[in-house]
Amino acid sequence: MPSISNQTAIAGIGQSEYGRNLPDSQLKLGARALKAALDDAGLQREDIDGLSIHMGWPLGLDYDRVAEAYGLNTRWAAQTWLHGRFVTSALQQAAMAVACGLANVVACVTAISFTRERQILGGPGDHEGSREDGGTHGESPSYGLTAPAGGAAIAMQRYMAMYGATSEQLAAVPIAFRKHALLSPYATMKKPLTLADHQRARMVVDPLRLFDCCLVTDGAAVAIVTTMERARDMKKKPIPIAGMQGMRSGRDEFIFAPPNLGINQQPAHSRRFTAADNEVFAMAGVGLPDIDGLYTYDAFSPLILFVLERFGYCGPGDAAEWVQNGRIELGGELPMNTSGGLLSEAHVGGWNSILEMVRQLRGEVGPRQIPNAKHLQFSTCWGDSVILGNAL
Amino acid sequence: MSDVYAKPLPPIDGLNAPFWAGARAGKLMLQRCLDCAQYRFPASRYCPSCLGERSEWQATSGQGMVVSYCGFHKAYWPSFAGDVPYDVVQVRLKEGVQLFSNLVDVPRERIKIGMKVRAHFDAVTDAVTLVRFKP
Repeated sequence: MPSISNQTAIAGIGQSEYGRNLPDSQLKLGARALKAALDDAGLQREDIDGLSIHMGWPLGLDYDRVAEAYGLNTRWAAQTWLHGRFVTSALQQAAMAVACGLANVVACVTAISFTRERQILGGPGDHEGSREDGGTHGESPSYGLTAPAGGAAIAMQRYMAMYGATSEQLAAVPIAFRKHALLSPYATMKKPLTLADHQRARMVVDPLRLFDCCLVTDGAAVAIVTTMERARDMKKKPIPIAGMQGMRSGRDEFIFAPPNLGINQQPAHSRRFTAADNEVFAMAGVGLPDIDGLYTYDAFSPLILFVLERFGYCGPGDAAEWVQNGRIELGGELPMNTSGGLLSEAHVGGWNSILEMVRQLRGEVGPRQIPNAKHLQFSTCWGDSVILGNAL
Repeated sequence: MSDVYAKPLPPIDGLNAPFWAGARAGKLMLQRCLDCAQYRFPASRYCPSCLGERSEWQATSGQGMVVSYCGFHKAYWPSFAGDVPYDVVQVRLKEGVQLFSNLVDVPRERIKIGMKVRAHFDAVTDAVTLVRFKP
């Protein structure tokens, strides 16, 4: 079986503006991002023959309406709904489709108007969180566990009790990402964040304070995926998809906790993960020291600690200390979410970080450039990952 | 009991009805596989451990242990606005399954992971009794 490693590439990226209460509709923001991505790749709309959309009910439109609205004629489509779980899933499906010949050029489209629809992010309008009295993040509304933040908070509280981690240590995550956001022209947050600001801010769901919870914003992002061979003929340097692995599921998993922390129905036992537990590294032909930057879906700051442990960057219970002293900041050992992530740049379903990875590997980001970035990884604490390489 | 209870109520269906009927009668009922004897939660038509389709509902000890907790300072539902800040706990029952719930009459500073708790039945409406816990 031939490996898909480096057979496909991101050939173009585009985005709309990001921000709160944008006047434009989700679909219009998406059109702007698609147009920018086509320009970036040097392609025409007619070249797009596949769609992988990371939007859809309850937060948007389906693939058929998107194709119709953008004047596309596609022969392959995949659709996930707008949930953090599905960032690399949508990207991986695009890569697999072009590698298998089901499409030549796939547009991955995410468009979000969270500020118009914030009532569905927890509360009576959150049908996902109310289904069967048990939502994805542990939502159990009759007992007041009424929002995704609750699942992350209950995991962090247990992690703190087990390992002695503190809110002050956790603050290193949003502080790092805020520094990165200040270097991103697209960022929503424009002011520095100090430890005192973090500790003074109101609790949202204890132990998570305001700045441990991501932004609620609007915006759109598009990434165009094609074969490596075809990408070489396009306008920009292709960014190869070097490795990937799927999200993990089963009773050992709870979306906002490392495996076996003991949340929801997880059996509790401590487990050290290594690169060998994550086939993404072998597929990309790299090890942990080869990764020049790590990106993750930072809906809540504990997720950064959990992804570091799950992918073997540090041992169970070590991450809160590991992230101190600038280690995850630009210039540190493992810069993370270098444009500010969901916590400080914008919540574009995580795709703002995919775009940032492409720009980093092309060497386009000026003051926030990771020098000589060769391999960047997107991973989540629920286990999926993509490693992007540098074609040079 | 009150006929103006405005908070969300659990969807009670054919599958989980024995759990909620038990709660109304002051019993913590759990589904147990007749093939492999594992308890399970939430209710399901087959056993997640052995896929066995035969099960029965058993009254359990109602005893458990706090595994974790969090404190809501934001009322995502307007009906919780009068309660914030309030705490949610996860309890691991002696039978091995875990539930999200609340403690009754325990201030936050006294909640400890590992503390032993027992079921407390809280009739919030004529039809629904929630399963909360007390030390």
